[in-house]
Amino acid sequence: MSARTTQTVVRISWQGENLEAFFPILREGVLLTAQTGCSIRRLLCDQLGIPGEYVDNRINTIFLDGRAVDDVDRSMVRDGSSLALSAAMPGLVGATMRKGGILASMRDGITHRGDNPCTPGKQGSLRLKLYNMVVSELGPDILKTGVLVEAGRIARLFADQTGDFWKACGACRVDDRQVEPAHLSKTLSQEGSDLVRLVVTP
Amino acid sequence: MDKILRIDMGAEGGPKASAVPVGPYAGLGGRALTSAIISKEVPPLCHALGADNKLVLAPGLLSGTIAAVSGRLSVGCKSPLTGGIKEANAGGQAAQTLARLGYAAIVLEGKPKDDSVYKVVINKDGVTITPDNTLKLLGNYALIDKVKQAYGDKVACISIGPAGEMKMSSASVACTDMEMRPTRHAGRGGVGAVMGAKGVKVIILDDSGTKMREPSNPAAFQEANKKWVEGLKRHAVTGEGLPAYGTNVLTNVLNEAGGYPTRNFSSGRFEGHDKISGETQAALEVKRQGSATHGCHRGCIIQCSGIFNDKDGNYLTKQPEYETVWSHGGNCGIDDLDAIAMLDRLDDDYGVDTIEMGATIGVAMEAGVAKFGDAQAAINLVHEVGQGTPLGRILGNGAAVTGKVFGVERVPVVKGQSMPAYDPRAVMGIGVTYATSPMGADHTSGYAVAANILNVGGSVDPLKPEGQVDLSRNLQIATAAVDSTGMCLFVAFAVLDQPDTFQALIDMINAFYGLSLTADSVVELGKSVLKNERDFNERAGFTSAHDRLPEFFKSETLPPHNVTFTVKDQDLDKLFNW
Repeated sequence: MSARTTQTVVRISWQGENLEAFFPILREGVLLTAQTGCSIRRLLCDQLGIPGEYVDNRINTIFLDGRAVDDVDRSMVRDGSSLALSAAMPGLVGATMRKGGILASMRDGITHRGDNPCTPGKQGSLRLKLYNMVVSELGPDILKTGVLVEAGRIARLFADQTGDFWKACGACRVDDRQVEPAHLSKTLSQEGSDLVRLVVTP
Repeated sequence: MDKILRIDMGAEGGPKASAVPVGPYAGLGGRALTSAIISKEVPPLCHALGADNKLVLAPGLLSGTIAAVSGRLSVGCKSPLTGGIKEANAGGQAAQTLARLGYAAIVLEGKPKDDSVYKVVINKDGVTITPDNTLKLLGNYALIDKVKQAYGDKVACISIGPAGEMKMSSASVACTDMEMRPTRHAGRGGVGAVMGAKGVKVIILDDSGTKMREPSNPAAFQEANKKWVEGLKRHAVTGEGLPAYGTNVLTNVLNEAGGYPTRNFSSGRFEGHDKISGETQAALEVKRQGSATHGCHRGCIIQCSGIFNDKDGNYLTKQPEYETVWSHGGNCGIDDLDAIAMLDRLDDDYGVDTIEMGATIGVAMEAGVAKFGDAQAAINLVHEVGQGTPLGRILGNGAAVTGKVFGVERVPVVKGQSMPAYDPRAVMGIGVTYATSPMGADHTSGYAVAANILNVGGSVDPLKPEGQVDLSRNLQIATAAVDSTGMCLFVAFAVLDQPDTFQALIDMINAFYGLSLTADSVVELGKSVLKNERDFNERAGFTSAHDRLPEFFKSETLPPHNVTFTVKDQDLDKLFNW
């Protein structure tokens, strides 16, 4: 992110049954500010608070910069990285993508080889994508913590919604100003920021 | 299942049926049986649409029993698309019903002496075969509605649409599902064209008055089935992922991997992937009062299918599978789920393979017949196929023919059959299977079945391309074995990860037939199936030159990883060395 990037903070108090309406932006990817230069495990467990057991047993398919990961301790997250997390996938090719699986050699050409350790502790940003079961299970906590999304994508998300979505939006705040849910899109458009920090609290 | 129903469509005086003992084919089911019959009885050099070819319809070894997920029907013949041996399989009600009627297989032989279309009715009392030209050129949906009026909604049907009657090489054989809709297709290789050449429009299976098949050892069978069900439910893929999202859950993941063939295999990523992903599809189905979790036959506990309703909440089609969403979606640059569902409905109705059709449209789009991303144009092209226009006849004969007619170099086929939804440059291991499978490019030929458990084919060096040949061989052997049981191939995930679940499958077969098979026996069964198939193809004129991917996979890099297919030809040729 450049120093000139502008941000608007949107807080939504969500009263709906679930947060599925926000999952498309998590699948497409959200920006996270984090200490980079660490392993995927350190990022997920230490910084995002995901239990190690969940990382080992539930997140069976991981892509770092589009390459399939076999070892979460050897693959390092850097400033600008893209990290995608998924549960176990069906199909032969789904099984080949599984981390450390017996069929991993079948996608050898797109495997993430692991890295030499890089400068640890440097603040950076990365794009996080959550798919399938993982978005259902981790999405709510990630949204509660807050994610950065390009303003245009948030505008599209809001534009795609129908009455049910707006009814489920309780209190909405834009940069600490109370805003009627129906006016969110317009307010954001007037703000003209590059990025939106979206915080959704059930 | 101790008899085979042979129907001679070319008999003097009209088609004649005779039930004969299974004889030398005893102990075989599903793909093992179809490939054994084709390999032994069909002259390899015959014309696929001629009298000498046979169409074999065989339930699996455990079909018609209480074994969960045992309802696959194998359809075998010499393929009009590839010129080699073919086994395509489908879910639906047909396999269970046919097995309960006591038939290990139906074999359609000969060729009718007129151009009538025939209706075959099979029940516990016997078989009737009658010409019924009121069925001619009906779509599968209209056909089944007509059958329902005459025979009720408890029968199961095996049928072809207009594409099969027109003997197009992409024609499928449809099986009805639990709601008696013609949504489950043995799609690959033009098996529907062979049924059309036999003059059979529909086979109606009525199992009223029959019972569930009885195992040799009921107590052991029930116990094994209990463990089998528990294993399938315990596994994250069969117990959670597939029921929640269906196979289309793969779209986002394959796209992220850069292995999602886009716009006729010109890129590995599609910008509209999430709009057509399994997650989006499931949410839409639920919102429209359809269903994201549904079985294709009774006894299915995986429930990977669903019901896709249109914008008004009316049934349009079953939940399109990953390969269908890909072929008509990203492969054609289309990111509209409603359009893709309509294409799926049309494919089912006209009776064509969704993979072949989508891949063909992708080639046609590359040729400029339509623009990538133009969903209405894609729908119009499928209508051309169903109506049998000159352009439709070209498209209906598949991607290879279409590529030749329009002068396209990038045609993603092996042995004339279109590749499914995984780019072999990104996932080279599947490229090995595409290249070497006797079936032509086929993602289900080398499935994820317990290479580690079966331990076939020697050790694998994961860092060498030739190691992928070993893996592909193991997987092809194991897949051939599973295809013979009548089990849905999706059981592979639980079997891969859970040795006790694999053992439960073997225990079920043993308890049912009074056998004492081991994992080694399963390997031998798989090998024998592949040997039969390979032998047929060799006698049909296939050589190692046919076990190759198209040249562009070696010369064109695939974004975003910019990879090519690098497995050497001499390594591919080692696949059948065992």
